Amino acid sequence: MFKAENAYFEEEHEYEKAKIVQDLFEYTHWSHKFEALFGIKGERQAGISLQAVTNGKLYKEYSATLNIPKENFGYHGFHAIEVYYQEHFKTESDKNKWAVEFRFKGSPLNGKETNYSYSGKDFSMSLHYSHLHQDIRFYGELHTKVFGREKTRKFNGELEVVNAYSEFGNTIGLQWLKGDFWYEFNALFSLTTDYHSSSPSYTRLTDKGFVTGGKLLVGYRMTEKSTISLEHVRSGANFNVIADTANANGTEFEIETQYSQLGVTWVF
Amino acid sequence: MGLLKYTLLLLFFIQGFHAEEAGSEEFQKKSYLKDVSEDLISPFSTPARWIVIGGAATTAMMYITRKDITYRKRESFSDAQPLGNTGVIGDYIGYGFLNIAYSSYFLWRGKYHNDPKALKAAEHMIRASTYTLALTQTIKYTVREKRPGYPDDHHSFPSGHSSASFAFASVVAAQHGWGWGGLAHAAASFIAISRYNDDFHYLHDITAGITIGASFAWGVYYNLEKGNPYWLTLVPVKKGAGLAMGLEF
Repeated sequence: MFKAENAYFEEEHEYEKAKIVQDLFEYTHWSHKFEALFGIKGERQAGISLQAVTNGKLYKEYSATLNIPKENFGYHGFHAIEVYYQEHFKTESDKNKWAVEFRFKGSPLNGKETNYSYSGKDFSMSLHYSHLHQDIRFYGELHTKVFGREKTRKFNGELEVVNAYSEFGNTIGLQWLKGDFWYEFNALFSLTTDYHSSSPSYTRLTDKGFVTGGKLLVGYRMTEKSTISLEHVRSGANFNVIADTANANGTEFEIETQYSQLGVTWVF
Repeated sequence: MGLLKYTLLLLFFIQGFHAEEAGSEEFQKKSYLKDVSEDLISPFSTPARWIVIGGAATTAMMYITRKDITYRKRESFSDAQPLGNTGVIGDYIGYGFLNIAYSSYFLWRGKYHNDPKALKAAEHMIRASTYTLALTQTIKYTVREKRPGYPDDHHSFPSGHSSASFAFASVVAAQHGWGWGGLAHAAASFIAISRYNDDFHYLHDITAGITIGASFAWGVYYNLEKGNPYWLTLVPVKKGAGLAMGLEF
């Protein structure tokens, strides 16, 4: 199976104190992902994907008290490689499906803001399950993920380090199969361990966090061996900032992500 | 909280009454220790081992990437509390209330409506919950990890609320299918998340608790499917509670 996906991607990192934004980083770009999935033996499959970004724009805004002017940068380049392995279990009924998946994401390149290259080495494992009832498929995914240590050279030359942290959560969704079309929505909820980011200019420490998100998708089977899908995905992560005193000063750290994606799949 | 404690005691009493009746005649001649030991190793000796392997790997991943040990008296900021102030509900019902209510109801139903399936479901819940509770408490008192938000309390690892609630949810899924099982897992997830929400546990405490509860529930389920059912339950005695076992023929 071969899949090509193009997405318009937006990500916002916001750090607030006393309800005033201390810094706001907005990344927008076009993401292009090419993925191949192969059957190995029996119920086993393996896949690989390559992701690159083009037309990237980074906007940085700081609190007036910091006296740093607003900044705009452009970026493009190779982002990351992902490899994965799936094992599908035999079930008594074709209506029920169970599978485990192991996934690794990384890049041989050094992390740089100038080309959006990813320096972390992520590993995840997940349990996929689904049940088909007439033309409705209920599905879910229990996942656990380690985000490896990330070192990114910023536009100003500083090196930002995000320490390794983990996420554990569940996605549940419904798929409505209607002729050659299918419609789908899902919801995600995850808990995370501590997310720490630091650079010569700042240190942000958090001791836990949570992620919520969801997806809307409409798909169409064009031929026996090809499909096209359009989806919109949104997620937000809130982290509990470590402070010595009670949070009277309203400190918040959020990462919000959303993208709209068009994907085409060929089965060969 | 007081009302909940009295309710739990009452339910324990009801269970003890049934268990004593069920097992009193044939108590002496059977190898109960063998049955108990089979249950105790069931998370490894049955297909439930995959839950143990996946859960242990998940817990290790959560533990290894934990950088800061933030033992301090504090509460999370409101924006980092997905459940807000409702975590207290999970705190209350997570004390094994669901497990005891379920087993009491199905004991009653099995006994007075002559329903062997109900008795089997009650037995499954009692056995799974007892082993889950025993292992969770043993680890808590051995490891003695401080709680993240309440450093005076040394019973953080693993989460007892998570282990009890996922033992409950897994038994419901095994006995009644994934329709009811899905609802039970939603309730169990709420309870587990409430412990993280309210700073009583680290994430690895919760994943370890989920692993213990689910693996015992499914391990005991596979043993029950093999047959050889017996009772193991708490009974009230003069100065506290005792553990009673009995075997059905």
